[in-house]
Amino acid sequence: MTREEFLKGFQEQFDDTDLSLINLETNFRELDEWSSMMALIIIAFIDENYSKTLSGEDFKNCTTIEDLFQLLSNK
Amino acid sequence: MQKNKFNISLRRVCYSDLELLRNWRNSDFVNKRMVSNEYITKEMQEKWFDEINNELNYYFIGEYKNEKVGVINIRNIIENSGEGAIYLASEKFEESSIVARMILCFNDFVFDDLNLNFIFSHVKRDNKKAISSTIAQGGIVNEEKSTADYVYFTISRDNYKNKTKKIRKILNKIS
Repeated sequence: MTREEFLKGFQEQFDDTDLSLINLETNFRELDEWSSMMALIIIAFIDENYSKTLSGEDFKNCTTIEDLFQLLSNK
Repeated sequence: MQKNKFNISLRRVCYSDLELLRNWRNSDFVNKRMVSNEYITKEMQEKWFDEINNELNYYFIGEYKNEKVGVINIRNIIENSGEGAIYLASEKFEESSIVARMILCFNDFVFDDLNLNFIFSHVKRDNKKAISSTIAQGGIVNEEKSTADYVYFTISRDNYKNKTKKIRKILNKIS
């Protein structure tokens, strides 16, 4: 898994957000489209594509997409 | 009546909940998202309860790990549809997956237990998170009905089941 692949997959989960606003340093919770549903959609995306299941606690400790990538890399 | 799914417990609102609900409803956090921003008095709250405490309206309090999360409802049920809405006890739940669990638990009740085919809802146009959440549930915008201030949605049973398939799978895994 590369950062670029992860970022592209993350971006694809969003329907209405300008993709240029989603980069590795983006605080994903600040995106207008972010919601409780999006949190589960991202957990499902990670589970399906990387066979790793994030807990709510894991998620809580991440701010940026890079944080999520690092978490996955070390899990 | 109680429903349990995805680690959420939904309990139908009863008379003893009214003051708690009134406090939530009058909070700035909830009030600014509502169609009516009028302050709700005790008398108004009791009158409201008398009107909705029947089989055409289902209001539930959602709990997660013994903490009350908010109120979710379907009202004005006519034939195979009703109007859905949700408000939360606190801002701290807003972006948490707990809310999504509560919505899915409730929508399953609406589509599987009440056997309705459509949930209608409307959201303030500036409430981007609620709009995103409704679309993620399979909500389709009703352009004809939508206004400058509100976006109107229809969630059909089929759209809901298809759109939430992956979320439900992960919830079944982590719940």
